[in-house]
Amino acid sequence: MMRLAEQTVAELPGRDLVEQFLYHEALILDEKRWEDWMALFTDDGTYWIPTADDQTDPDTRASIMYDDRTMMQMRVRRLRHPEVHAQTPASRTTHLVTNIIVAPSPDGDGDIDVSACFTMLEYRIEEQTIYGGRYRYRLAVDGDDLAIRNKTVHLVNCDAAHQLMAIYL
Amino acid sequence: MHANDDLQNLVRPDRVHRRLYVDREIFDLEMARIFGRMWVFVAHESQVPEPNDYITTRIGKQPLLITRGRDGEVNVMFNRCGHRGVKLCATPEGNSPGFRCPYHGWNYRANGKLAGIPYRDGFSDDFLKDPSLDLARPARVDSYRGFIFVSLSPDGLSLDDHLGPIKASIDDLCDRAPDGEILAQAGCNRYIVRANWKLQMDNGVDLYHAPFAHHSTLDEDGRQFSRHGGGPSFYKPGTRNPVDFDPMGVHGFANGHGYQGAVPQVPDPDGMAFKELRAMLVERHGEDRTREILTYDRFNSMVYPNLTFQAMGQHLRMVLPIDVDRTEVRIYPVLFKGAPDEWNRFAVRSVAATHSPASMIQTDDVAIFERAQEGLNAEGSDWVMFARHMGAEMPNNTGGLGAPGSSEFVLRQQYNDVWLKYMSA
Repeated sequence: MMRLAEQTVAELPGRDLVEQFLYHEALILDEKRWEDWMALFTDDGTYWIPTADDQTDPDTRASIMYDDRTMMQMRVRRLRHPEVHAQTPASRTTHLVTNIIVAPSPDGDGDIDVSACFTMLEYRIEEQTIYGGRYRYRLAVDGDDLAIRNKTVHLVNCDAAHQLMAIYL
Repeated sequence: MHANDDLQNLVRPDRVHRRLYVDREIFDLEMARIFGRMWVFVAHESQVPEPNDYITTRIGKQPLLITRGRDGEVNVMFNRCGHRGVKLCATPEGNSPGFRCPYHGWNYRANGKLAGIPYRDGFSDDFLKDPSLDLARPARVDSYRGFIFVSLSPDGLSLDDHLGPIKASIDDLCDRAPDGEILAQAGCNRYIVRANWKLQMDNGVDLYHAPFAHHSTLDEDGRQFSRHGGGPSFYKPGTRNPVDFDPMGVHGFANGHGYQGAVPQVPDPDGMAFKELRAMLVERHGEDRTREILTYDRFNSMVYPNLTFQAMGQHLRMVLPIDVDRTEVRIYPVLFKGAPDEWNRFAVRSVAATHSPASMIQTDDVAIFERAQEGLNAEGSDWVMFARHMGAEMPNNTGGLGAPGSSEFVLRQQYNDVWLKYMSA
C-alpha cells in the first residue's frame, strides 16, 4: 500500500470536501465571479503562473502572472472596466479539474497541499484555445472551511509564446 | 517581386499603404531586405555568462546558435549542421562543451569548429579540410554594451554608425546599474501577436495611445500602476481628461531609432531599495552624475527594426516576425548588475504585471494590434496615417530631431527614409 505521508489520509480533510472546493472554484471562474473568486484566498494569498517547469521563485525569473491580493484587486477592477480591450468581447471558458491528490503540507502547520490536473477551454473571437497542466494549491484548513494560500498553475507549455491571456486560469 | 517604383507608391510623406501590413510578398521582401540587411538585435551577452553556455534563437526565419567559447568569446553561428542541414541544437538554452548532430553524429565544439565525424575514413582529406563544414556565421556580428547585433549583409553601415545617437538610450539603461552592466538573466516572457511585426514597432514611440488603450488600468487620478510607487499619470489632475502629451516630447534619429520623452510621474525615492541603489551609484559616479543617471527623461526607446526597452520598466523587448500576420515578441526582465537584490526582484515581478502575455498593460496592446490587422484588410480605405504634427520636428540636443510628444514624425521618418531605402533593390 502506498504510504502518502506521516499523517494518514484519514486525518486529512475529506477528498470530497477538497474536490467540491476545486469544482466550486472552477465554476466561479467560468462564471467570471472574480470578486467571489478572490474571496477564496487568504488575505496573504497568492496566485502564480511561472514560465519554467522547475521555477521556485517568482522574483528571479519571469512569470506569466504573479498576483498578491493588491494585484488581484487591480486585475479584477480592470476586468470590470468597460474598456478592457483584451476582454472585448469577453472569453467564455470551461475548466475541467481532475486527478486530485491531497497531502498534508510538509511544513506540518495543518495546511494541505493539493495537486490537480486541469484543462481550460477558452473561446474568444472565432478561436478556441486549450490551456492545460497541473494546479498546485496550498490550502488553509479550518474545520470544513478551506482557503487558498497559494495557487500555482503549471502550464504544460509554460515557456511557449502565448496569445494574450486576460483572465485567470 | 515589387519593383522599386511600386514600393515608392506605397509610402508617402504622411502615410503608408495598408499593404505594408497585409501583403505577404512585402513581408517576404522585408525578411530579405530589412532583416537580411540591417543590424538586428539577437541577444544580450549576459544570456551566455559562462564558458560553454549557449542559447538558440533566430534572425528572420534563420536559426541561430549563440555560445560562449572556452576562450570566453561569444560566438554567433547558424544553428545548422554542416553535413545535411539539420538544426544542431534543439533546446533554448544550456551549457555544453559541444554539440552533436542527431542525424549522423557530426560533432562540433562550442565555438562551431567541426570536432569529429564518425567513420571519417569514407571522406577525402581535401573534403575534411573544407572550412564550410564548420558552423557558418552571419556576415557581421558586433555588440554594444552587451547588446549583440547581427547583420546578414557583408556591406553596410558599421553597428556604431547604425546605432548613432540611440546609443545614449542604451547607456541610460546600463548606467543605472551600480556595476554599469545589465543582465538578461531572468528568463523571458514570450507572446504571439496575430498581427504584422510593424504594428508592435509602430507602438514603440506612441505616447498618446495610453489613456485610451490602457484606460482600464488607470485609477481615478489617471495614474497607471507601476514600480517606484508613483507611476506615470495620464489624466489632468482632478479630471478624466488626458494630459497634454506634447510637452513630453518624442525624438527620432537616423536609421529609424527613437525614444519617447519622460511621461509625468511621481517618483517614490523612499521605496524599493531606491536609497540603497542611489548610494551605490553616488559612490561610483558622484552626486551630480548620479542625479543625471537617475533622471527619467527617456520612457520607451526603440532601436529599429526589432528592439525596444525601458529604463523605468526595466525590460528589453525583442520583436521576431513569423509571418505577415504573426509575430513573436519576447520580453526580458532587466537586472541591474550590482543592484540590491530587492531592487532586481521587484523589477522581475513588475514585468509580470505590465508586459507578460497575461499582464494588465500588454494584453490591451496585443488586442488592439490584432484588431488593426483585421481592420487593415478593408480595401475601402488604403492608408495608415502618420500625419500628426506634420513638419513640427526640429533639431534636438541629443543628435536627432525632436517634436511634440504626440507627433508621429518618427514613423514618417522610419518609413520614408529607412524602410523604403532598405526595401529598394
